[in-house]
Amino acid sequence: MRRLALCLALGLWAALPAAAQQSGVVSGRVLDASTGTPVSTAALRVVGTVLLTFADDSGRFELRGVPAGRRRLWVERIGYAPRELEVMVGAGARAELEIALEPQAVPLGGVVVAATKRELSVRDAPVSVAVLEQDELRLRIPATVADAVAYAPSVQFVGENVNIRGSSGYSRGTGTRVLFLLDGVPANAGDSGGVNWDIVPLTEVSRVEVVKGAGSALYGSSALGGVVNVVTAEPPEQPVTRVRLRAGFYDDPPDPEWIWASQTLGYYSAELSHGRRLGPLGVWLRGGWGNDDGYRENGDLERWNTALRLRLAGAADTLSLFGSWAREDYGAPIVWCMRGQCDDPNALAFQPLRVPFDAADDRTRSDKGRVHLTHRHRWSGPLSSFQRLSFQRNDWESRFGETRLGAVADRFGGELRLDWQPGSWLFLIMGGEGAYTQVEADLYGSHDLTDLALFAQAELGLTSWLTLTAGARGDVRLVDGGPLSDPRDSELSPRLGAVLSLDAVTRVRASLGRGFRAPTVAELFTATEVGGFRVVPNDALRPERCWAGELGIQRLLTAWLWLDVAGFFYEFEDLIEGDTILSERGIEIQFENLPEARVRGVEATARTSLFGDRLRGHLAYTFLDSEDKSTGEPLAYRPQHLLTASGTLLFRGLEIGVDYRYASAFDRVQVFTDPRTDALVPMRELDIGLAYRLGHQTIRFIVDNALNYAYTTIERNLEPIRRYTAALELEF
Amino acid sequence: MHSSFSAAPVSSDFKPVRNRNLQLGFLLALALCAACADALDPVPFQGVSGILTYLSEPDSASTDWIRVLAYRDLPQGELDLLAFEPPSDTLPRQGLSAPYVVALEPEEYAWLVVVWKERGNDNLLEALRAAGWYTASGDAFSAPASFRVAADSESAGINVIADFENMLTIAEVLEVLP
Repeated sequence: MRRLALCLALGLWAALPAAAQQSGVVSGRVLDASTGTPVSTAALRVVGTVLLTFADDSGRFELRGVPAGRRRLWVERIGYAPRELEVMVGAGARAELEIALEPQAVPLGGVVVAATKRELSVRDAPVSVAVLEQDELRLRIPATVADAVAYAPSVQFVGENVNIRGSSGYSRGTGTRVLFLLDGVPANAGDSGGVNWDIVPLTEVSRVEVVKGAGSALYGSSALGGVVNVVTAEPPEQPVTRVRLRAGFYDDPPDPEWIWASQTLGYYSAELSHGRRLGPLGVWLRGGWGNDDGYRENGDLERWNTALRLRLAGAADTLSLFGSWAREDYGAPIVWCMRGQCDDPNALAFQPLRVPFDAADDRTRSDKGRVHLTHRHRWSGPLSSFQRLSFQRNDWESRFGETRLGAVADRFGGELRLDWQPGSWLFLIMGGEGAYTQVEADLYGSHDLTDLALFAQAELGLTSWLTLTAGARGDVRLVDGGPLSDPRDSELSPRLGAVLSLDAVTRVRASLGRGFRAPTVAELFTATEVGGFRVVPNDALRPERCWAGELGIQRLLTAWLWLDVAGFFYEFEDLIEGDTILSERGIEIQFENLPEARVRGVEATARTSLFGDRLRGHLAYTFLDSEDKSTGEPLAYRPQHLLTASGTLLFRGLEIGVDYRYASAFDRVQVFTDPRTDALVPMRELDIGLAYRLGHQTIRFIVDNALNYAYTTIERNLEPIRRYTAALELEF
Repeated sequence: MHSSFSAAPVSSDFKPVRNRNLQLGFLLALALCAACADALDPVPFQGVSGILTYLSEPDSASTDWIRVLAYRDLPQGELDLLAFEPPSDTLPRQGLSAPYVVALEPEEYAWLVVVWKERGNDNLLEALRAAGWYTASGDAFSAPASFRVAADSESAGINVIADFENMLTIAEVLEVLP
């Protein structure tokens, strides 16, 4: 076996000079066919190879190492009709092209990095990906980026838990199965594993990538259900100042018997950012502040955040530093008020916007700070290296009645990666990653985690119609310095992927991989009693594992309709779920392993661009079937049907947008199950927005939950009622 | 070496197609998705409520909790005592009176009792005491009075006296009850 590997390596090495001599360069510009202006970020791929590049801001591109001969070049970009061109490439020669794209096609999905740790067109990814571009994010006037991620197909927020394809249920944000990346750097909280969306610099987000399915083969623990990667904007070439002012108010509740406040409740926020070049250094700096009265009693929130990004780019090196700090101080009612727990002149069984007397002053303060430094070096030839160092602190304190809880979690991380393209048909990624987490908390105790991993991935352009991806990652976790030999906390996660190009407009993708997630400190060690909930530790908790796969096809059916259909599954072993017991002491919760569980489903997404690109929209439907195999029951907090639909009408500077989200009622929840007071209802949310652009200045209005539809995703917590928001975005 | 090549579109280059019927059909499918129903609505309380009057304050240090329990039938043995309806929230350990509510199904109930639990003792047969029950004569331990809960309504005024200095053990309760 070792001899074979050696022969392969030598053969590969020997082939390189010959390949260089028999290849050429394809370069040129991508232009808008109607205006002649440059088209940036257009993806250009040499069909049948792994050669891929993206046009820069001036539309220029360059592909090196293109095998000599007659080659096909695939060009695509959001908002333009894709094109396939034939190019004659001479050995050692340069082919200069000028490519015009017609700007009237359906959106195709953009660029994604998180799927393979390499910039790819979404259509070339071996797994399902949803990309939310900057315009889509701003359209919804979000308070945090989570408000926009909630609109991605197959995504549902269940309380604080982001749930991709039903992989997560609800656990108050603890032990999420979605890895949260900020510019590709892990950013889940060190203690709970939860996602702190407020650390994202909202005005400087370039796009959000939602990668579905188990991503453990590249990212290890936490990526069991999927990955959300927030990509921040590069510092601008010219000085730019952005201001976003946002204000709004809540409507009355849908039923007058639920009114609890005598005055109108509102919210407002202000964000300011400035970016410029300082010699060779690109920089942006931003700060934001917001206040929200909340729509329910003790639901107020105050938020501060600031962020900085520095970028130093040379011919071979790119150094980037990102830092952010965020604070939130908010009322934290756990459940609404039941009869007898608060003043209720209407004597209802429950008052969904009031809280019990003893929770009226419950509050949480949380501080989050992070910094990461990344360095990319392009070595001579087709080799580049990537290194990063990161530090994140999560420091929070909650007051529940007379009980005070808090935790400080510090997480140090590092990664070293090599990207090597030894030939036009092979792209290799290999590296190692490590993290050390230290937690001091009165509800967990003092603990530390050490995570070590090695990973490798090969992308092979085998034929003009088939690209294969194969990779694996080995992970080891030590809890409190626990032994390396403990097989419970180590895992090898392989993944295979394939993309077949059946014709110019049809792609079939398939992937099969292993997922792995080690329990967080919060799942292992939480011991507390708050608000009638008693959480019991379980230090015998094992990591959860799964096999996950999908088979999907996407096709541009007509110039105005793009369709993607995928079937997927997760087969879980030792799935970690909160088990709830109603005892005489109240409600006891303990995280336990379910021996076998399953989530499977089908997802269909259609994107359209109609009436000369004046009307854009998408419709996405997901069917989910989940099962705890030991009981035969559905998994808790998973809907069977998810649907999102959106349409945007564009007329000159005016945009009118409509979003609709639906999730069927959960078949099962875990804590409160009285059908009289805890009815399970579907989620139906209709949002209507209006925007007017004048140059770089935009004014927006949106009505969220326009139907004022009352629903819960977790028991005894009403989701936000109808609210009206206006925003002013200024750029100068 | 530098040379220029023209790029010729291949035959699979995509040609836009327009079909207004299909476009309108697609829009109609989107509009159908906006139907709305099934929202949460106000639910009238259904159960019993009243005031607990404490003849004396319970001993806070030894009290784990105090709750009100309702029974459809008078218990005849220890096992029957476990057949209670979902109890009230825990009630104050201090003060001399407290309002209470118990959500109940619409039926006739034979016994509504104030139960005290000793702190640190998880053997319920030993740890539980009856501090008083709903009686027709307005005292703590005379003959239990029954009451009815009507559908979608609150049976108010079911007031109970709790005597924490003379609480009854389970065995004593079973002796006293008819």
